[in-house]
Amino acid sequence: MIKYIDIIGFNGKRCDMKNNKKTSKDINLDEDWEDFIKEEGLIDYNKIPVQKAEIKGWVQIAFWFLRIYILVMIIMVIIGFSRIK
Amino acid sequence: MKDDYKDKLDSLPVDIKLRAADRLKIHLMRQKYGYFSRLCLLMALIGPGILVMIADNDAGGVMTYAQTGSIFGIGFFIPFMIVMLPVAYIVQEMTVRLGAVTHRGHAEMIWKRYGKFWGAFSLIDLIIANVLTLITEFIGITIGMRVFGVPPLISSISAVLIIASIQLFLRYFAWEWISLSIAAFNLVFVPLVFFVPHLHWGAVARSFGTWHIKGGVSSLFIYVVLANLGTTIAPWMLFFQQSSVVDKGLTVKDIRDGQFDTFIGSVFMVIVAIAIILITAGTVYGLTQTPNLDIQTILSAISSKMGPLAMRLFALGLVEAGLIAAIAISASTSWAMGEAFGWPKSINMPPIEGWKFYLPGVISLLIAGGIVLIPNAPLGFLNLTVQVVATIFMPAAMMFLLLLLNDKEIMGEHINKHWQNISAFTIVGFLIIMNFMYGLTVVFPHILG
Repeated sequence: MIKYIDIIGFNGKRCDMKNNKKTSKDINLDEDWEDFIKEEGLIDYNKIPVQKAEIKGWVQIAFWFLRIYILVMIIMVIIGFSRIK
Repeated sequence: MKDDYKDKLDSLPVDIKLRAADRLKIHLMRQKYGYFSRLCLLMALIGPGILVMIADNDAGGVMTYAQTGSIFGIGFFIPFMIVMLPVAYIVQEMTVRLGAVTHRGHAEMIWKRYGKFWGAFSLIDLIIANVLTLITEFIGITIGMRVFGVPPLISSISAVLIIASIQLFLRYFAWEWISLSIAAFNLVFVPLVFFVPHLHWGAVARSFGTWHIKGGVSSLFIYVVLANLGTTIAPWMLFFQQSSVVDKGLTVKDIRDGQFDTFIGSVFMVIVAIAIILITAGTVYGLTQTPNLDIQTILSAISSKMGPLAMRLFALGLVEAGLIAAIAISASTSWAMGEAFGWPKSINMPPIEGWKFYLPGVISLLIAGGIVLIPNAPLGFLNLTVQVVATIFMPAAMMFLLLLLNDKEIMGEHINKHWQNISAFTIVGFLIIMNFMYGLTVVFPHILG
């Protein structure tokens, strides 16, 4: 399989050898694993619903402006394309 | 220790597992101190910003800059391109923060936050614009390869195979580095500037003081401004960089590196754009006044004024521009579809397990690669349609970006600052005014003379 996990060939290896005061051996991922997963956002976001935004105030005005803008542009596009010979 | 990591990683879903392996490296790098370690971390984190900006100088972009230099010479558009640097940075930087904070792509955020109608509107616009833009990339690839004696059939099939293979068989990090390596060839235009005959650097410097518009403000000028603006900020760029940031796994801790990445990319983009304008201003300017300047005419003029080697390097740049943009645009199509329909969405996915994710990108490549081979295909009409779709869609895409970046519920402390909102709204306002003026010149062709 071409796609695989390769911890051994990790990019930071050269950094390890050069100038580290603290190496990977000092990091206890057994204890920090949950924090690591949480901090790095390594969860299935498809399973977490996103709350729909409440459309009110200036957001509502922005949406109306967008509708009008799209309508005006579509009319202009139709006129423009109708003139193409 | 390594086995422990593997066991822990194996407990995660496949796409997250592969991203976790990369993030583990970043996590370990972050624990280290010293300038060299910091540099290693930065090198590991940069990518999406440089890639999106270089891909922005696509085949259509190269053609636009070449036409700009050919029609307007050295004048307004040299300082204008410098102004485009903060414009591109301000817009794209927002996608870095949005992606890093939400861990979701732009299509997904619009779909879930503002409902199915606007989600579907954005997705359909994006897919149409992406497929049409891909056709222009394949036009650039086939024209460029023809200079080297390669027939369009071979260059189109080869391009589809190369791009699809890069997407299907590489993990994110390898995909990104291969793409960045191809993107490096975009800089081929820069050394060519120093071989442009009779290029007066004094005139280039003076243009910043005069902002001279040859022929004054006309419908052609507005068209060229809009075309340059359209190549600097395009809808697919918003979707691509945010999805790329998410797929790479950047978090709020990486925002500063992502911003630096975007800034470096903006600088490269503007340098290349100015280089192309200078090359064509020095070789083609004055030969014609038509906005529909043929790329063959431009290549011939470069060949006669700078020699066949310069012409071949320019053609190589055109091929690279088409190739890197096709890689980015097909990836953005796949990501957007995956985000909208909740499919696993990562370039880390193996081809079999991630077939749903890869399919839209591959299909769009096949459509574009096939259409470019159809004899007498209305390519000019398709190019016009690309601009029309992008023109309508860009302010809408920008509006959703600004709404999301001002949404405290999702952005928290990373919400847009006052100056960022002023800058972004100014850009959107300018874009809408220019689009409207261009629309007016289409409906009333003689309004500006």
